[in-house]
Amino acid sequence: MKFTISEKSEKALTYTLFVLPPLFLFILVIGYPILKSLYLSFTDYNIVKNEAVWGAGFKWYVKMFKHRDFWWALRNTFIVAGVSVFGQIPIGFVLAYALHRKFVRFRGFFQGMVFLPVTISMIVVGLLWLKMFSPVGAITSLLRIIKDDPRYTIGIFLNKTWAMLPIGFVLLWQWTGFYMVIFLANLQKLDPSIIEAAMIDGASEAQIFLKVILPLLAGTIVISSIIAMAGSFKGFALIWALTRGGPVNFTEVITIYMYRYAFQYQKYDFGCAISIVIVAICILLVMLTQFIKRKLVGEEL
Amino acid sequence: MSEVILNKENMSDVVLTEKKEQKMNKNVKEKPVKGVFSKVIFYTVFIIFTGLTILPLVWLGYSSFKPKIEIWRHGLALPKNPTIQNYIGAWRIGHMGQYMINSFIYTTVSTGVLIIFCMMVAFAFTKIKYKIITPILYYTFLMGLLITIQAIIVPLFIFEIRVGLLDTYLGLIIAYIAIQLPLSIYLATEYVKGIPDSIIESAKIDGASYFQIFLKIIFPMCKPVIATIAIIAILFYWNEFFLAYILTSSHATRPLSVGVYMFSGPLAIEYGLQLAALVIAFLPILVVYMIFHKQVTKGLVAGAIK
Repeated sequence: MKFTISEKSEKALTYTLFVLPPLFLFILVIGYPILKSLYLSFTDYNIVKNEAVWGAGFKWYVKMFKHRDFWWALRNTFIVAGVSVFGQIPIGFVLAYALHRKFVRFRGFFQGMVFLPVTISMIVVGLLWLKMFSPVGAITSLLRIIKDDPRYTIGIFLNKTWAMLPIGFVLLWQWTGFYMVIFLANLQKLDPSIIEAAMIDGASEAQIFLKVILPLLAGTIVISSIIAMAGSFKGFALIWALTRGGPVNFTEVITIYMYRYAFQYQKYDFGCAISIVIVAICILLVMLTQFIKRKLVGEEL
Repeated sequence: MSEVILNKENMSDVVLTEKKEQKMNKNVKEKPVKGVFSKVIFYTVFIIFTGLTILPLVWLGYSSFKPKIEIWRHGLALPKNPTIQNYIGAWRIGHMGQYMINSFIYTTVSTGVLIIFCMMVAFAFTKIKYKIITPILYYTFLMGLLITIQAIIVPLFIFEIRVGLLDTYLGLIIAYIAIQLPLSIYLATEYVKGIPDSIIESAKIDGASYFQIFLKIIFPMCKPVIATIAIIAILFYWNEFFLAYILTSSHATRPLSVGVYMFSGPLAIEYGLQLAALVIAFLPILVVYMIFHKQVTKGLVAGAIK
């Protein structure tokens, strides 16, 4: 005898079976923890008893906003964002344009080469450059030859103001190819006859670039910039591998600041407050993207 | 969420394709000569970028074959007495073999389950849909796109300690699957939506159950989107660091990213072994990139943009 169930209950049963396991996992790992983080940020967490006591109010948020380390981490995070917006994105754009307009041959090879660092994990990139800057590294050795000083070591990390500079260079090294590929994809979507028409009208290369291409891709540039900023509020591994945020907190970005309090000092309550601020900033940036997208109808990233 | 929407449309043409170039050539008939000056500049720029990319990796490559004494004597010199001792050491002392196996397990299991899960949800949301509950659940999942890992890590860590999942394969795998669910569900749902309902209806009339339709019709039709989701997931899982750094703490469970960091991090000084460990960590991705160049480019752009 064949076991049959009604059409309606088969539908309900399949739906439940298909949706429930992923939903359960999602709530367990993301839904519940995010709410718990919000909750913990308003409590005093007792690490010994392992319990949270409600009633801290905005204590941790106030402490954070009064904390000089927080503002330093924010400053460094903005430097990371700045490297993207004023470094990776313009350079990536120019490289993409050069490839698109065929200023060079071997385009596939060059594109592959500039993009290669994006494929390497951020931890390996960070460690690779850590070794490059180390006393036995290629950069130090090169500088020793140039400066004719066999004991020279790179001291820029010890300078609080400039310690982010080598990190900015490594970020540029890794991510320029990423934006190049994004811009290339968008350039290829443009109607080729636009450039053709401009050329017939006698526009010079510079004019085509500045007056035709740049305005057409303005939306892509703005949205890439916001994505880059959101990304800089999430990045952790590369700087962690290079400097662990040190020396002291010279190269600390917001995620490392959060890690330091949550996991090195085990201040779960304070760490959660920092993480909530990170999420809030990221959500604001996404909303900004939505807003700009609506302003620039027809533009796509 | 907007980025993902943008990004989906982008996916098919992210990679520079020769075909497209040829088509453009025909249309425009532009002369490739652009003036010697700009050519020289751009060749120089691209050669510098290529050099900047390759030279550190080349240096890493040959230095990893240098015996300890040569590494300390001169950082730039080529190895005089090349040795594979560094690799043997990294493999034995650095547990690179174990880490590689762990990374492989995390990547394959998480990707496999992720694909089954997101396809199930996409099918239920678009082809079995319930009017009120489906949008609520869909947007609940999409909200996950806004979450950063930092915002869930403390409660997740406390939870995993409490139930004994910390430092286990399962503990990291559930986190990996969940973190990729929102983007994957979004991509899968948008794709399955495009499959005509009439196919499902006629199969229903022929007496097929939803489960059979899912397995025999939907899954085979979704190969392209499954490939995209898989590439994004594989690259993310293989390279992921933060979650693994916090949720694993022993040689038996650490993936390669954490393992190589522990071995070659800022606190270590055995340079030769560390350089070899870095090569070991980097090589699999390089090989994959060289073979699946276009797909990897696509996947990385799509995955990072969310």
